[in-house]
Amino acid sequence: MREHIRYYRPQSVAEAVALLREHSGKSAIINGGTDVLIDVRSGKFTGDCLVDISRIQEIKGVREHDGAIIVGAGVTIEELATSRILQEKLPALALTGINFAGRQIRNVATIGGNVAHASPSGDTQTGLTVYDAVGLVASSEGERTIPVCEMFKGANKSALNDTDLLLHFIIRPCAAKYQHFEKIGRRKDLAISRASLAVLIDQDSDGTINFARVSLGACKPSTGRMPRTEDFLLGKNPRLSVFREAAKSMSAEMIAITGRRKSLAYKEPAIEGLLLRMLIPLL
Amino acid sequence: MVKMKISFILNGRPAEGEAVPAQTAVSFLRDSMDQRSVKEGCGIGECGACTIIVNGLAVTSCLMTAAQLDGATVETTEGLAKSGNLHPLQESFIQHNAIQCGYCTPGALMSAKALLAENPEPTRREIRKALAGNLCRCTGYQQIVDAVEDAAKAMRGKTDGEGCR
Ligand code: FES
Ligand code: FES
Repeated sequence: MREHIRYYRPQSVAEAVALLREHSGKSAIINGGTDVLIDVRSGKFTGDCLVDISRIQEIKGVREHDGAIIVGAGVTIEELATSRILQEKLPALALTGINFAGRQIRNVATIGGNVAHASPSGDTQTGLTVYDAVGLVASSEGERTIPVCEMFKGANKSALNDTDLLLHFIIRPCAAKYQHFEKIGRRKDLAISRASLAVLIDQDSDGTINFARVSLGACKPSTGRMPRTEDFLLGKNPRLSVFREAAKSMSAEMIAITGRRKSLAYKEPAIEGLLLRMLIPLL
Repeated sequence: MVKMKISFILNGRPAEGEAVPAQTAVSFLRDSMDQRSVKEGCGIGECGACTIIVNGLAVTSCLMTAAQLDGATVETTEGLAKSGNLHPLQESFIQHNAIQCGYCTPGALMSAKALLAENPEPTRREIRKALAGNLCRCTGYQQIVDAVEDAAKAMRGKTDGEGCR
């Protein structure tokens, strides 16, 4: 069943983009292969060629440029979790790599693949959207930037075209003192997220919250910031009752997006508890 | 069917084979390179039975194409024993009864080897974390963690000793 699949291994972005254009509609990009090869096996992949971008140096590595952090689309989840720059400057993003599948998968799965595959439970999206990350995409028409929050059309539906190649993410570090990411899965390791949450909070010297960002993943058709919850937190003083209310407001905001689904009996208290747990260190 | 030549380093020696490029690395290693230690369990990256080491990193060979091995340095359990002597990890797995049916064992050995190469003195927690992607239906894991912990000690003893001499 794999015999008819042609295989290309471009060495540069330019070469990859030309191949994607030539094979538009029939190709899949692979890097770590941890999503695409599952589709090949199950028969969900119906194309006839794979473009393997794992040898393209231009899309690898984490670096600082002009006050922003540039994270290559080819950065593996393990690199994400262990990068000094990310741990220091974008801790909520680095944390998304820690409990992501097993080590064997983390060693090859990439942040670009996680985003491009638009998995509703992709943890990295939660960490990227909380920082308002922007992706740089190349195609035969040239390069363009797209905010990560606009890269999803719905569960497993990416807004990227099949001729697009994600090159890197551009992320501005945030001065907020408290930056955190947590997720809930069925078990501790390897679990696919049932809910993930990234939070950036800053406070005045008297404790008043003067900056709040909250991004929720794995609970809606896509991942992204929760503006109503953020507004609710702004100007508040940390108190348990306030945080309980914030948690309620976040689940209401989620329901406004998803409607009342069957899984809600689980998800509603789960995400409320998750936000509460993440805010309690501020008390 | 267009086959591709795969040239790589297999357990320290140059090796070459032909593969359908999109074929999985596990099927290529087993069927064309005679590496029967590499097991396919789930085929979808969840069980770790197919774990091998590529360029120093533990990876699941069921979610890797044969073509991705081209030019790489690959280790399998076949390469562990040296001149008839078992690797300390293998010795330790036997001593601790960390093997029952044995299907998960080569994969667990590979994860453990990659761990000890980057962290010769892992805590039990770190061992569990490194082997979290290796499922075992038989042993209950305790023995495997014990085996890796002891092998690490044995291997440190050896290199420390050599360092002193
Ligand atoms: S066979 Fe590869 S992870 Fe199960
Ligand atoms: S020994 Fe049987 S699965 Fe581990």
